[in-house]
Amino acid sequence: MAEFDRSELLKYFISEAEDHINTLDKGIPELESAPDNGTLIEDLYRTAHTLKGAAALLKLKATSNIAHRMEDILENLKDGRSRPGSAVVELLSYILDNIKGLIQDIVEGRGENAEVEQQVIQRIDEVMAGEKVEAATPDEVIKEVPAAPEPGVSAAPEKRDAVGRRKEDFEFFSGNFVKVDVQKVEEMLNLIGEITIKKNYLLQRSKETGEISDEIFFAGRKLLKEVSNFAERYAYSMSSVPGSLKYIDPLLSEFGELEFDRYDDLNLFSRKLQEMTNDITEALKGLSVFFDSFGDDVKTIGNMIKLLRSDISEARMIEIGRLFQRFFRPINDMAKQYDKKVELLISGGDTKIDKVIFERLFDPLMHILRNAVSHGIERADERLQKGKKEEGLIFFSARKEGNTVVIEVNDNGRGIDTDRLFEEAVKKGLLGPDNKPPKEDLLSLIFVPGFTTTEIADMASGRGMGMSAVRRLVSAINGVVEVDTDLGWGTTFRIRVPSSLAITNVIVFSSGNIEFVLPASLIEEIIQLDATDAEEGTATINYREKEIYVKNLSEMFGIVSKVDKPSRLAIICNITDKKVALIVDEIIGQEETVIKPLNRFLGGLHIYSGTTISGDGRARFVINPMRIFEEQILPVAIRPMADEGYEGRRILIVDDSLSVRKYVSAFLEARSFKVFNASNGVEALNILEDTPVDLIITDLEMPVMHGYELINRIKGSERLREIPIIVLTSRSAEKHREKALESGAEDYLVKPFDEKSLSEILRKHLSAVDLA
Amino acid sequence: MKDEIENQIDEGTIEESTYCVFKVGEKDFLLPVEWVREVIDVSPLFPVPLAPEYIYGVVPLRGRIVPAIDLSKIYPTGKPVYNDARLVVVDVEVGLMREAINENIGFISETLPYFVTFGSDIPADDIINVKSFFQAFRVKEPYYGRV
Repeated sequence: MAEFDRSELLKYFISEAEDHINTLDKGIPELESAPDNGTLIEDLYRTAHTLKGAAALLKLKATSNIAHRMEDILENLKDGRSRPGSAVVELLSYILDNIKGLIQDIVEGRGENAEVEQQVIQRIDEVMAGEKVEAATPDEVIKEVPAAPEPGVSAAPEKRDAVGRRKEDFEFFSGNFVKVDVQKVEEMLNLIGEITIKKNYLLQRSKETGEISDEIFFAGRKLLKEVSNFAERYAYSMSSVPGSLKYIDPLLSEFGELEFDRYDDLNLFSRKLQEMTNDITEALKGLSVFFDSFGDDVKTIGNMIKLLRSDISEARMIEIGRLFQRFFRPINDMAKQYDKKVELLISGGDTKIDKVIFERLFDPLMHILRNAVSHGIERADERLQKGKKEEGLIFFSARKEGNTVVIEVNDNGRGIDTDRLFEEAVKKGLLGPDNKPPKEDLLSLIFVPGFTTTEIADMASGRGMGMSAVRRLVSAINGVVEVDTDLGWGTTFRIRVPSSLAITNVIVFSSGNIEFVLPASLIEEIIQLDATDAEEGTATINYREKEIYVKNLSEMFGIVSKVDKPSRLAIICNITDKKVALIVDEIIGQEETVIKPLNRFLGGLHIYSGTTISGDGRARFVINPMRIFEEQILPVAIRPMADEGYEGRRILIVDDSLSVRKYVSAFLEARSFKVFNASNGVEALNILEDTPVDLIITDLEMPVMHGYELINRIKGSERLREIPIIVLTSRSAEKHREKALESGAEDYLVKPFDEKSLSEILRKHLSAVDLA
Repeated sequence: MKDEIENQIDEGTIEESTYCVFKVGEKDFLLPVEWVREVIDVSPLFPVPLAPEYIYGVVPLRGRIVPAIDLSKIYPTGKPVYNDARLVVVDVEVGLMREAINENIGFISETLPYFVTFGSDIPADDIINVKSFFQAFRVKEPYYGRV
């Protein structure tokens, strides 16, 4: 078992402790004026508890013991066993002061002062003993308050002085730490992204301008040459005697003596030209020197930006050990609950990971750990019988591999029985009984939503989250989950995530003429496909002696590919425990970029997990291969959605807003309903004339005939009275609801509504129809 | 302020307000000026494979992307001519999955939009209520592309 780097951890503890102390510092005095503030007490209780846990982890015995007592006192308050009178508040403040002192000692490298612990505990015992008496005589509590704390008030500062601690000292708690909102860091990174784009633009422009200057330089030299030739041709020596002139141009021989004036002018002009061209050339030389150094300068700026970017994203990086810490207590509790003995081992706690990923790893890891304890690890007797050590082991490890972090949760429990998975899959009709796939393929069944054997059901029971959700959560941060099991000896879950979300290493490729990116962390390799592999319409290709699913992005998007089939490239991606191949037209390159979440308006386009902007300002979507292959790899995933048994049921929507009608129709049609539309009450009644429906959804305010009138008419009709009516309106006031329900509407939904509540309402009222 | 306008729109009792008017085909659409963040060029526009037809593409704007919405694919406007088109970018605050979010979307306009102040007598259906538009037309999940 590898240990944390203690001093590193200590730094975090101190920073964390400061938070808790601030909370307590602020909350404890408030207790006195608000003794019945349950949330406040709850808060303080939790804070003390966390502080205790953190201190215990670092083996800061005194701090943790004192915090533990503080937690006890607060727990009593929380459960109403005692009331926060001033004596208790005084005591809490006293304890807090001492905790501050202890931590200050730690900060200054003196270590904990064990004496303090004894003193504090003793005093707690004294006061708490007194408190019980006070509680018994509530009338006297108020009177006794000024008297009782007297010794405490004087005693506390004395003791503090004795070890040289003053309140002011605590200002220095945080040492060299500055707290920055993650949001702020995000903004800084955004700005850096913008600067990078501008810088690339500048670089590109300077290159272009440099080329122009080169052209001018070249043209200048040509000009100079021409002018020199010209000058040479017409040059005559001033020293030579007229008459012995060397005429180059036969035309000039025709010149009379007097015409030499003009020739002189020509000569002068050519000299001038020569001089000017020389000047221009010199200037251009200067310019080209500037452009050379300018390009270098921009590149230097580029490097600095890179440094700045990695420094700032470093600020968002947290040691994963802090995440592992959070599991200690739940695991212990759970082990007790299941009556099992579990030891948690950790390695690689100092691996750094982006804060955002850190937060989003908690749920999936918690789920995996829960499975390991409740399902993986056997009871002590069973383990002994199998010849294993009585104590089950969960080994938690993290390591960095390039730009990805690999987290493994390994238990030495009973493992997953793939034969049982196979039986279950056959029972469910997912697999034929005759062709048993290899072990790895069977294992991936645990990620299928709704797939359960009794064991798996037990794993996910009451948690509202199965392994399929783990996979989804991990894929949302561009990560991958893999599972490996050895029946009888244990299971390993492996999560691969990019170490940073802020800067991601991506492969840029094109399909059709459109550029996309894929996070490099998902890519296994890029291969050239044989002509036979790339046949249109084939669902699988052979990759390293295994059949893997393949999809051609251009075909999928319905865009025309420019590339001949034989030369197609396939990107082999890891999606959880499977590999899949994406056929693309061209690999453009690899770059580091900032991935932004998908615009929420496009949120339903799950095949994209985000967007990036290229250096020259082009928008590129990030492909999420898991979602592209979801239909193949999760055969039952989509079925339960479609099959709600609504097929052929008819619904009438009455609303004067086209958007609402469109939206609700789309929602219902997706659930196999037959939908009819009306924009007001009269139209609705017309439709109802000759169309039987199972349910009506209506607005209240509408032109021609409003909703109340419509409800009255329907409820007044012998033929239509039984049809349930749901009111869907933006009127949220209670009186409208009452009025609508009074007139006979079955339910009332306020716009904007969420799809879940509409689903629920439909289920409720349509099943009622079934019964009738 | 935005809510107030919303209510006014809902109740059809608009007093005097300023609107951004933009043209698609033969139709003018109005946006309460408070929603409009800026008007930008539609180019460069990048396609979004598998998006619904009314999403014309996306335009990069300060490190993020803004979907460019073609209203002619939603409302009967007649055929639009987007030769000299602009994008009216709006700020939307909506509740999604019990979370208040702020997002940008853009409407394509055939020409440079202009601003007018209207009395309460204009027909209310030409005013786009951005919030309900967003809720109604955002791509819902799971969306497997248009078939």
